[in-house]
Amino acid sequence: MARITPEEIKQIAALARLSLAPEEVVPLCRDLDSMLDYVGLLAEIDTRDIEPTAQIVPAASMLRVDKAGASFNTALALANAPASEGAAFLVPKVIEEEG
Amino acid sequence: MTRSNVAANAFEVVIGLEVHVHLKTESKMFCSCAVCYGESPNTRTCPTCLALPGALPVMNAHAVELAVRAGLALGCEVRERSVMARKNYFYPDLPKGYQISQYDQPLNARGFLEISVEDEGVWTTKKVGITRIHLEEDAGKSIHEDGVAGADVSHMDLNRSGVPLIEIVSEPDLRSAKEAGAYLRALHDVICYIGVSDADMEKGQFRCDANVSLRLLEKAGSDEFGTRTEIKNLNSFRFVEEAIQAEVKRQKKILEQGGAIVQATLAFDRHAKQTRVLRIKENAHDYRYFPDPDLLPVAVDTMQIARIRAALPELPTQKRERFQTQYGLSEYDARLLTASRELADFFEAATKEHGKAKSVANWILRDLLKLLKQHETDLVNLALSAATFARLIQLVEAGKITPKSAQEILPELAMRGGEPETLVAARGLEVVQDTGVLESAAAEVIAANPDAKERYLAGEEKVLNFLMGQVMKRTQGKASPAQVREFLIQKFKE
Amino acid sequence: MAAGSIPLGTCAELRRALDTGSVSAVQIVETALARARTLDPMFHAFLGMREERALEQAAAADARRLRKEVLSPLDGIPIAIKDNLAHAGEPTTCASRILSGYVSPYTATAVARLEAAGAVILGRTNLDEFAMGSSTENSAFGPTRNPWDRTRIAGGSSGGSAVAVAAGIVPVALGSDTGGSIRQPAACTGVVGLKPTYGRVSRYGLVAFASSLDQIGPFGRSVADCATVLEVIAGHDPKDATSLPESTTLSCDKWNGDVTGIVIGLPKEFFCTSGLDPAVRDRVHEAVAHLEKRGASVREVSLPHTKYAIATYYLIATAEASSNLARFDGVRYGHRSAEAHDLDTMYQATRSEGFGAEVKRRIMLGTYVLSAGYYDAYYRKAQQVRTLLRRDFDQAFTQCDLIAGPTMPEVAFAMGTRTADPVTMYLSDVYTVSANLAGIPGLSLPCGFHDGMPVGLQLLGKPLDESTLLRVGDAYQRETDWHLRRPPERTA
Repeated sequence: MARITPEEIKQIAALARLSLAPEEVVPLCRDLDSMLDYVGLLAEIDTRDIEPTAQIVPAASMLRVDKAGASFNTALALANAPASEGAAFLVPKVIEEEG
Repeated sequence: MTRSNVAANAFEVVIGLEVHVHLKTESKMFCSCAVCYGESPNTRTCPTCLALPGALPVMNAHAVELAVRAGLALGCEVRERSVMARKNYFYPDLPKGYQISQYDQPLNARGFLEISVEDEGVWTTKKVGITRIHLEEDAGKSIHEDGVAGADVSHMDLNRSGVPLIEIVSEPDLRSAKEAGAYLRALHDVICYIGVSDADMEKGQFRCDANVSLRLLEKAGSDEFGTRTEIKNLNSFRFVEEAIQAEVKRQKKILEQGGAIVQATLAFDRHAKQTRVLRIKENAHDYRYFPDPDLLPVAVDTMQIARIRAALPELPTQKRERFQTQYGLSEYDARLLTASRELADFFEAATKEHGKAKSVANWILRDLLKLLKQHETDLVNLALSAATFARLIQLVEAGKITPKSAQEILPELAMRGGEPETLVAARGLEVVQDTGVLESAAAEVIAANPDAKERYLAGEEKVLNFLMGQVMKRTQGKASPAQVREFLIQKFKE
Repeated sequence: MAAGSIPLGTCAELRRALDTGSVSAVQIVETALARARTLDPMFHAFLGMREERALEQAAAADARRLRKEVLSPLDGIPIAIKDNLAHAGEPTTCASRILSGYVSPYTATAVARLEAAGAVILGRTNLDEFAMGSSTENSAFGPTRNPWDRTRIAGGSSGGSAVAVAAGIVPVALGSDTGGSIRQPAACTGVVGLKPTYGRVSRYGLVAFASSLDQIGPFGRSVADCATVLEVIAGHDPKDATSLPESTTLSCDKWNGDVTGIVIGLPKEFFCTSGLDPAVRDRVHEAVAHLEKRGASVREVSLPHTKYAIATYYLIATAEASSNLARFDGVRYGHRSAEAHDLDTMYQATRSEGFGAEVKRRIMLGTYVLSAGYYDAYYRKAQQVRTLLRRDFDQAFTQCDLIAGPTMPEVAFAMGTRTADPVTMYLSDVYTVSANLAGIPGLSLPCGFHDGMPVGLQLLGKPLDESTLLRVGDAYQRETDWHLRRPPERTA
């Protein structure tokens, strides 16, 4: 099985927005390796032409009627916010505009 | 030819547009919070669009219907089972840490839009491919504190979080900024015509990202493309064209100097008219799409597709062609009259009332459009009905009022409403029918200009025009010019 | 005898006492609270109690009873809920530091249905952080201990709910089951636990671990009590797009202990697993023999892909979890790191401080298997094997009405022995994860003891056939008294 390198661990951690202490990297490599070794068991099954199951419920999505209902008031929306100002959530400066 | 000295015109411009359109629904995509614009921040949120722990999405049926309508209007194949997928990335305006979108099985695929581009008065048409139209949700908004120098915080408003969108992705079929502009306008027309969105660009209901690349002319038509850049968030037709022009210029310069284009996301600075690199795209941007387990596949059956198709209104190009054949209008006039669904409907209603399409078209194109432009308003804001407009034209054509009088009262009818007949009576604008009045006015004018008769008889035609003007003045413009002319000629001959 | 020293009986017993007027709902709730005060310091089943509100709700239930307006068989009965269920005005911690300070502004559908039925929500129970674990050792607030032996695990992840029932603090409790998180702790602690068919109970308000696998279900001493709770919480919910439209009719009143004609399938793969303790195997065979005596017949069936179930489960569950847990970002609720001076640090420091080791491990694995280049080899492959596992059950159920086997391969193991190696810990779910992957209902009920610890019998049913599962489980409990055994009571 492929061994996960510390570099890869750092990349995955960056994608998942987790920061790892230097001493966490090696044990995580080991744990992920052992997990991947274990799940590698699946490679022995021939799954050509087998449909993937994403959801067990056979039906199609239930839809809602387009009807507006009640919303939280601003105070309730912000009640749990670690930081807020006025009517808005407060975050460290957002530098670029995302699409 | 070496790379370093390729001529400026040796490149082909390749453009593809991604357009995000807010769907016109009452509630959000996955919860029942009302869709609103300009409300104070965080007044339209709930557990689902705040992504509170444990909250779940349930899809808005009307959003699906509108997306299918857009797909059909743009010639797409509608997938009977499409899959909602999670696009995973972190951003403060994205509460769940993923956007619910569609990935490998979008609702609509393989459509097209026909565009017309004018070049020195010659119109050419072109079919632009549409790769896909998929459903997704909008994110919230960061409110930037402009003017707060050095502010190191941003404010987050989640009213827009979860507003339903379609993303319309074009093929890289566009070859110039002008074509891109034409495509975007044509798309905007269709979207408005079919009523899936108000598509107000200022409210962010119709937003465009442009992918731009250049390739050597000899590669034109091949599958080989240059490295592309993406210009984000272009929110007016003009900016799209200007941004693309600026980006083409920037890329040409780099290539001509022997440099290479780096894949990047750009912003357009509308003041400097320049594109600016926001970030270099790295491979680290890994969205880890997978089917959203909270939502089962979206099913649209053939019956439903047939029903939506049958209810589709006539589209702009179809209407234009019909106007040309049915009413005998020129392509140019037909194009102007079909610029919006409201205008086209107004024209047809007025024509039905009046009978003669050409004269209605003339009055609309000459007088009504001018009026709208002067008042910077839209037809829907006018108090003028098509029937009233038709009657006004009829009054002119029946010789009851002069064209000048009609033009004089049109703004009043348009802005304040009312009946043309009442207004004509109130202002005493009826054409002077009394021949006695005309006769005496003509006699007075001739008497005041004793040499006029002689000069006219000697062949000086313009004397007649001068005298006519004098008579009109005395009758406050209410005389029929034809009648006045006749009277004067008769007098000269006496 | 001090108030609270008598363990609470089953819902059925409490209901009879309420009906005769020999006890009031307030007295029942007082007893439950008193027992929690005495016993919970030893077990740590609860993360929070609602003393005042619970007593108010009990008083309201008593008032309804006087007016003869009893809402349901659960009216006035105390119930504990796993602390990953939203309840308006109450914290929902998921046993995680990342939700510190969070108070839910809304209520989960299952909890709302309990309240509408008059049930008294007594408190929130401990769990493995975000339901990720099989021992309730992964709680940020300390582990829950097994009342049969405090050095052993309570099972997990719904260990707190299982222990709250096992210790006789509440007659019933709610848990959630993603890969065995109701059935496995039920087996560990000698109580009944039911994982309903996927879609049977609305997931709205259940903090998601793996959305395509999660299901809320009841714990109780008796199968009948679990049926009573299921009838209250089940049913279609317009707020959960995966909730099923079918109604839930269990016809408990027609149960008479007769299971004539029922065919029980014994999957051969379940009994040749290398880690299966022979004593556990023997208890299960004895239990099946009891059911044969009541009229059932037994045949061998096969679930050929059983050995792939855990690998499949961990790929799917971690992938979904990596995305489900992205919302814990320190922006709108919960913990935000004091280091959050710029955006990236806010995310990274907040999440690294907020999540425990096992949660991070699973987020990492899930992120990896969804990432570019690995999706097909891992995530998509697991989805395909999921299809095969489901077909195994479809095939088996053409030959039998339900499947019987052990809930876990051994009895509750000693605390601290499996935390070092995640994979060995995962293997204790070998018999339970298949039901989640296939979406079918599963019931665990006590079927004897080994080494002084309870052994769990697992019954798996056809989709939406909780009725047969519960009827057979009830028949077994009419025949045996394992579910009436109580752990020895000592005070701390």
